[in-house]
Parts: sequence; structure tokens; C-alpha cells
Amino acid sequence: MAIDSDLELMLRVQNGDAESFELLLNRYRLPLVSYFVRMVRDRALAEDLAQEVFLRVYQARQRYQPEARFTTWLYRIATNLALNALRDRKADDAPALEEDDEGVPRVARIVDSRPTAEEQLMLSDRERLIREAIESLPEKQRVAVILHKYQEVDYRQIAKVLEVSESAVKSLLFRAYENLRTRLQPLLQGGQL
Amino acid sequence: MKPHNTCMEREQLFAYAHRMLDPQEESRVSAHLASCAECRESVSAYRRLNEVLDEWKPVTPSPWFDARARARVRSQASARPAFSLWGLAWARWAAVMTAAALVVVSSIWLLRGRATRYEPPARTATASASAPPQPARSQSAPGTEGPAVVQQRAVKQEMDLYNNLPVLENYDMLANFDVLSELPQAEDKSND
Repeated sequence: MAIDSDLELMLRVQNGDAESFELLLNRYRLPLVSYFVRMVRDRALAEDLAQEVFLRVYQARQRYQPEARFTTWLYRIATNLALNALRDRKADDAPALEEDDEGVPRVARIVDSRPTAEEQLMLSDRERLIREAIESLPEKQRVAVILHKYQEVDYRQIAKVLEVSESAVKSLLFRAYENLRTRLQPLLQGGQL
Repeated sequence: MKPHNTCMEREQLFAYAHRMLDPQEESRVSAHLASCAECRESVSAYRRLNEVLDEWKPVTPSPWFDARARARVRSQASARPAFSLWGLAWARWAAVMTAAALVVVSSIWLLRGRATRYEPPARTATASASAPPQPARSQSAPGTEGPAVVQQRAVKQEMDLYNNLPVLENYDMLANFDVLSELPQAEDKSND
């Protein structure tokens, strides 16, 4: 049996087909929850944001343009939500941190990066190191890396999600991976933590 | 080892490692890598980093995720969507305005139609032509008629008006039908 494309499902959702919406929900719940967990760390918030994405997809179903890839649209909604959540949290947690042009805080991060009990159970030390390295990236670099590496979104699509040029995305990814290479040097040298 | 200045840009090697180059560029870098150990090592380092990043595993949604997502969407679907509310209000408003406009236009059309159909017999030639044959003296100029004939004609015209009631709805007719202007003459006559 042929698998319906996202586009076909979305066009059916536009015509009020609830079953097609259910298929999209099943197809994208894991990628979206994972994306948000990597972006905001807090699992409960991540699930809430992922549900919000599905709600917004449903609300905006009539405005969906078939010319655009569904995943581009989906991740644009998700990225906006994630960045807003991060900014809200940053505003709540920290007294105004000065940032340089790339959004890197000039002052040392004061967000508590100690693992929660849940994280201690879920993450190995190596995973925690990777997570912290990615969290230390400036906002756009972090989005680009997570979309590229973990969500398997290609750089052309990332350019559309972030509304920047393709060459800008390549450059963003390059700088991000260079930062990660430096931070994850202990893991790259093959040492066990 | 080759001198550093012959090596490729690191950004290009990174793009090569992540398959972001077009075929022509990719083959150019491949040819360079065949003879440059330093660049080969850079590409390998990017690939190792990529493998290390794989260790951060995805998180599966909680068992109640689907139920909550469905509930949120269902509550939205059961609520009247904003766009249809607007659409409905707009459609209602448009229907009311259209009906009102139709009433006004049809009223004007009806009144104008009646105005053009009805022509007072005393004022037009067609009215006198369609009127029953009058004695020869009644067709003479008003100034030459006797007072009894004039009064008889006025009474007849008034009776014609009463017999043809729709003409009373004609605004132009009503505006020109100045009954009050007759009163001073009547008073004058009574005084006489």
C-alpha cells in the first residue's frame, strides 16, 4: 500500500479529513517532541510545545500552500515556538544578559546546567556533554544543528525555516560544528568519560 | 605533508563531509583529498564529530501525549473557528444589505413605472384622447368655458383621482396636487 505524502494528507486535512490529521500526528509526534526536548530541555514543556504545533497546523490548515514542503512549514512553526519559549525562560531566569552579534552571552551563563534527577537517569555522561555543547551554541546555530543533525532537514529547507540564504545556513552550520568540535574534543579523541 | 597554503578552505571540507556541495565541487574536493592527508584528516574529524553527536538519542513522547494533542485539537474543532464566525457574520450582513437594496430599488422602479403609466387626463393629450367623447364645447380653451363647465370638469377630475387610488402613492402627483390652494377660492366663494 502506498504511503500518502505529507502534502496529500495535508490537502485532505484542509477538506476536513480527521483521519489524515491523525496520520500526520503519528508521523511527526516523535520528531517534534525530540526537537523540542533538544531545544528547551524541559520534557513537559517540550510536549506542550509539540501539541501546540499540531494545534496551530490544524488552525492554519486553510492557509497551507501546497507549494511549500510540509516539513518546512511544520519546523518553521516549531522553531518560532521554541525560540519564544527560550526567550521567555531567559527573561524569567536571568537579569538582562548582554549578547554579542551572534547572540552569545558576554557574561557567564547563569542558567543552572546541573542535571535534574530525570536527566541523570536518562542521559549518559557523554550524552550530557553533547547536550551541553549544543546548548552553549548561539540560538541560530543551535537551531541549524538540531534541524540538520537530528531532524534530518537539509540545509535548503533550513534556509527556508530560518528565512536566510542557503549560503548563510552553510556558514552557520560550519561555525556551529567548529564550536562543537572544540567543546567535544574529549569525546573525539576517543576517551571514555 | 603538504604545506598548509595548498589545503582547501575548512568550510569547503566541512560542506564536503556533509554532502552540501554540488557534484562539480564535490569531485574537485575528492581529487584534492586524494593527494592531501591534512585535508583528509579534517574531513575525517567532521565525520567523527557527526558520529559522536549521534549518541544524543531522541526522546519518545509520553504515553498521554497523543491523547492530550487530540483533546487540544478537538476542543479547537468544536469551538466555532474565527474565520467561519467572521464569514457567517459577513454573509448575514451582506444578505441583509442586499435585501434592503432590493426593496429600495424595486420600490423606486414600481413608483416610476406607475408615474409614467398614469397621466392625468386634464394635463395630457393622450389622456383626453382616451377619455370618453366630450361635447364639442368642453374641448374649447379653458378661458372661453363657462364657470359651470369648469366646475363640472374639476369635479370629474377629482372623481377620476378617487377612482384611481394608486395615483395617490405617487409622490410627484401628491406634490403637485395642492388641495389647500383651492381653499381660499372656496372661502372666497362662500364669503361671496
